[in-house]
Amino acid sequence: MRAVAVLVVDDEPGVREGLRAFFEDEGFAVTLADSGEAALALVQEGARFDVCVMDIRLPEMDGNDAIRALHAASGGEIAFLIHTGSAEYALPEDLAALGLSGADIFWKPLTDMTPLAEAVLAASRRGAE
Amino acid sequence: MLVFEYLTPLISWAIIALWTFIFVFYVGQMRRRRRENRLLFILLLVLSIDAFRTLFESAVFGAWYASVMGAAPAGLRDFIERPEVLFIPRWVNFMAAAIIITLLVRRWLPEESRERSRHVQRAGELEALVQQRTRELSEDIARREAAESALRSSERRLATLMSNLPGMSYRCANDRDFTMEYVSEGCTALTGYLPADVINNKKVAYADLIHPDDRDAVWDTVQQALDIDSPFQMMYRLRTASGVVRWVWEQGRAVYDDTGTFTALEGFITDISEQVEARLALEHESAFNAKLIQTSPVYYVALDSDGNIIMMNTAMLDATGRSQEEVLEKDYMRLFVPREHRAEVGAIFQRLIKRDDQAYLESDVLTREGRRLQVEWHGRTVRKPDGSFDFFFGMGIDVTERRRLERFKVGQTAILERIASGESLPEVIDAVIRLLESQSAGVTGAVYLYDGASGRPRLAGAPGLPEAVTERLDSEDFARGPGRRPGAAVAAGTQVVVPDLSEEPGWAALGPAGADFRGYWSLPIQSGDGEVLGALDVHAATPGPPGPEELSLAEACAHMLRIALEGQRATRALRASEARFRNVLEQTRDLLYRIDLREMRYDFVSGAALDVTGFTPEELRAIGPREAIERTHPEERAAVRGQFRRSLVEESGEAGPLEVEYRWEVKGGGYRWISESRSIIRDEDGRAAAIVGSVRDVTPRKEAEAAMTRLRRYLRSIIDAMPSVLIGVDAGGAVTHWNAAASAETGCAAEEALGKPFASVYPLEAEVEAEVRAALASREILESRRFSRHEGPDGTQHFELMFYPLAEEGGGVIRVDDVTARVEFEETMVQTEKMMSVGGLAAGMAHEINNPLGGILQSCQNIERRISPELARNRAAAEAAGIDLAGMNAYLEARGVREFLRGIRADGARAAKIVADMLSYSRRGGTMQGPARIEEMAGMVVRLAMNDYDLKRQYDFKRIQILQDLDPSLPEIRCDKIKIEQVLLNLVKNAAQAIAEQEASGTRDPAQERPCITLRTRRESGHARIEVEDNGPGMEESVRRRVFDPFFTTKEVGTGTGLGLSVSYFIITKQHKGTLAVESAPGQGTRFIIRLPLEAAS
Repeated sequence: MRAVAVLVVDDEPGVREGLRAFFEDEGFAVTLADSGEAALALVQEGARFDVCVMDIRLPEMDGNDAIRALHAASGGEIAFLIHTGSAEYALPEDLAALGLSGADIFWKPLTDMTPLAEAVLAASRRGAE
Repeated sequence: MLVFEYLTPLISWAIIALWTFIFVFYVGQMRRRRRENRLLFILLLVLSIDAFRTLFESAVFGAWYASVMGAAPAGLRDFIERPEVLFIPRWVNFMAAAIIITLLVRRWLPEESRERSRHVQRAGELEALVQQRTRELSEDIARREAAESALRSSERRLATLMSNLPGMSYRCANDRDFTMEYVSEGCTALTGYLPADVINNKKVAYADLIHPDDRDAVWDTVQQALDIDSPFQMMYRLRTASGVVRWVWEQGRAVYDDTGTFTALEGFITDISEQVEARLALEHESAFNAKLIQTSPVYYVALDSDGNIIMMNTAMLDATGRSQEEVLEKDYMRLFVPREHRAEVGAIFQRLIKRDDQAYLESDVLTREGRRLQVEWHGRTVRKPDGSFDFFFGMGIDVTERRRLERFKVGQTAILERIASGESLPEVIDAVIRLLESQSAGVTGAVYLYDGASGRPRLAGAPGLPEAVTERLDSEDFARGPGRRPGAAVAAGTQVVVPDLSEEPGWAALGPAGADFRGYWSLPIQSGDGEVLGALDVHAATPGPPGPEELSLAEACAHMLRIALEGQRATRALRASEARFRNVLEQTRDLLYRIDLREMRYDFVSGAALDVTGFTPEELRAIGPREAIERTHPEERAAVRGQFRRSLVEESGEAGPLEVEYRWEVKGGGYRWISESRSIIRDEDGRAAAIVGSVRDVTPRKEAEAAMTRLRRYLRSIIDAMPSVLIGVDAGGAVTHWNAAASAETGCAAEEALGKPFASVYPLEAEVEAEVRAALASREILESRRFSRHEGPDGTQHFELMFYPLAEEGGGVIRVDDVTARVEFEETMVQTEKMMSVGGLAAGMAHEINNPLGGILQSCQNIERRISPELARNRAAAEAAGIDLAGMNAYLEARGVREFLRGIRADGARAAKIVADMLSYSRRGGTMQGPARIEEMAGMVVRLAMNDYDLKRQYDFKRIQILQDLDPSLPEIRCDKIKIEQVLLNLVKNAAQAIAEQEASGTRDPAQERPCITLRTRRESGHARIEVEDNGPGMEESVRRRVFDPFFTTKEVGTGTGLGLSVSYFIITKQHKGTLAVESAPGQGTRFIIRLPLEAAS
């Protein structure tokens, strides 16, 4: 069985690397991107991911736009999870239409990454079905 | 031979010493080769002489020396004692001489020596020469420079000195322009022109600056001085650039060159305007004083100690008809003081000489013709510096005219009094004319009044004229004559002046009596509205127009006559008005009547009856008094009737008229309010004979009064209806008004409160009461004075007191409002605002903090996972590194590293919690609201509290009794169940912690009941009320007020976030539109009260 391919998009190196370490220990294949644009470039170059953990507040393109772009670029193959520190974040309706729900939103800081790792696994299975 | 023996060694030694010295000295001097070394020169001279001597000696006396010597020296002692035995070989002498000669030749004969050793010495000598020349030259230059600079500095000093002098120095040609070659800087200040403007007459010639009047004098002065070859000094005026004239002082002299030819004028000009002007002013002032004294209308006289006149001014001389020569050195007393005044004046004069310095007296002064002038004298003595009498100086004011005017005023006042007392017109006219005649000698007066019947002025009085003349003046034919006629001002309408009546043809008809009628002036007597009523004629025995005094006298008299005439007219007018007054009775709007009591009928009813009663006087008379009383309104009828009867029966009863008010049925039905005033007229026996009275319709007034009463009642009920306590107080603080709210609040009825001091019936804190009293005393408004009361079942109540002073009556109104709700609302607002600001702050920074916190927490978790032996990768990595993972873990445990990691995670989590709490202010609530039962939530909260880790660690929760007192009638409420549970749990935990702390600190009274927390629910109108009550330590008011403040905590630092209650407050008030309040007092426990709106309300 192929390892779950996870794309972590976050501009905060501490958060990014923390997730990478945890996910790798979980046995996922982790790719990091520090911006929406970088993530999009990866997908456009042909990289394939099962799940993307997306930060919302990003320097240029924000997380919502990045999800829309990645969704379009990947042809809907990627399942998204949102990992944000913005207190006021509310899920836009068009993203809800992509199948995202409140349960897919994880608030920073995570005192325990296990639920997120579980959600990644679940999302990858969801995508595989 | 003996002498020779001693002398020889002495000389020998001296010569040896001399040579040695010369040699040494020469060598020394040769080192410092100086051509002008005079000392060396002298020495060389001496040396050369000596050399020759030596040469000669060695040549001539050589043989003698040898003979004396005889043998060779025996020893050192011999040598010392007899140096002559020392053999000096001849070649030594020769050599010495040769050296010296050579040296001398080199010094003395430089040319020769140069010729001889040209090649060797030429360069050196040239160099020395050049050096020498250079040195001489530079010394020369230095000397000259020093001299020049000394010269320059002295010049500069001089120039500075000159420019600083208040004036200008100059050098000019002796021409008519005084063409300037040089002027100093002072020129600008002195003339207003720059030096450059004046030099060489560039802009202006100096001579043109000199005042034209002084120009020639200046020229002459200079020329005269030049003629006799002496300096000149002069003072003249300069006109400056700005046109100002200045006085200057000039000092100058001619300058000649070596050959004695005139070259220029040099000198200095100074501004002395100030000095000159001061002197001129002084001269002018003393001249002015002298002139003042001479020309002043005031009399001045100076007397010496004998009373002789030393000075008398023109005014006094003129007034007394004397000349200067007549009075000087004469006895003042004899010439000027009337006999009867001499003793008094003499005494005052003597007193002045001795002691007093000033005196005042009024005394007459005799003129040459013997007339008397009334003079007020102010005298003073002038004393010499040693204090002795110098002279007496008197200053007199002629008050003759003033006294005359005063006499006139007295006469005038008397006449005005006579007019006021109503004296007849002819008498007043006579008195006025007599006054006029007494004031002015040689005149007679006559008064004419315009007579409408005859169409001309008629004589009304001329007491100073003979009857024959007056008859003539008033006669028809004289009055119709040509030209000016008697009383001319009446016809002219204005003042008429005829300088000489003898030139008026019409007046010749007076015949011989006309001789006294020469000067004539006639003044109109006009009423206030300008109508000419008559004329005052004045005839003078001498021809000529009247003087200003005579004219003003006549004017004053004419004015008095006008007053008299107008007074008479006023009296006439008054009589006319008396006649009119008789109609007033009929004119008045009051009904006037008279009842004949014998016949019991109206014998007089005024015309106003119609207005007041609607009946004509005739109709009213027909009705008669008895029937009239019956028309009174039934309510007042009996009283009016009784009163009427009493007034008939009583004998000489009441003094004044009786007044009654009642309603009376007017004609055509309807009642009018009537005010009746009546008096009883009694006959000789004292029996009532008649009644006179007046009746007035006072319906409008009555209606106004009724309206007023209604309004008062209305205001009263408004005041009573007001929720505010309103207390009226008088200036002394006694209650004058007491509204229903006041009664309700104090339980004290208005009747009870009225008249009492307000503080006794409405208790206030001493401080507040004092403020009200102060405002009452100062009549100032006291606004919004808040105070609180803590007793009562409703907990703390807040009040706001206001005091408004009443401007007119004094006193004022105290208003007290219960503002508890408002205060609570305000507190809520403040609370909410605080929390919103925290929420806003948190939202802004949450992202910034959450990201690093995420990094920290994730890293900790990763570390913990990666040191755990459970993970296969860890084991593999450890093996690869050659480490025993279990051993490492044992180590980490032993050194507490894992505990540290746990600490980091716990603290990070706490920080995250704080941020999350803060964020909860900003997250909108209500999204998860649904119906929930409070008892379910209460049960959940109790369970959660029991199992709370933090609490269990601190305290055995089982010791606290948790009571649930739940209202079963409470319906489900719409709320966010989780949030409400969070609030309740927070409150319960706080209560438990407070009790725990109290027990831990030992301040809890063991005798107190068991620690207990009560959860209580009640249904209120529209609200569910949830209470969390404990019997813990309670809190101070200061703490209570702040419990909902964000970050306010009484717990130890690090124990709580200080946000729990604040968040609870937010959840209840903002997210559920409810209220959260707290009641507490130290030792009384604490009760939090939550009110949530029920379904219907939300």
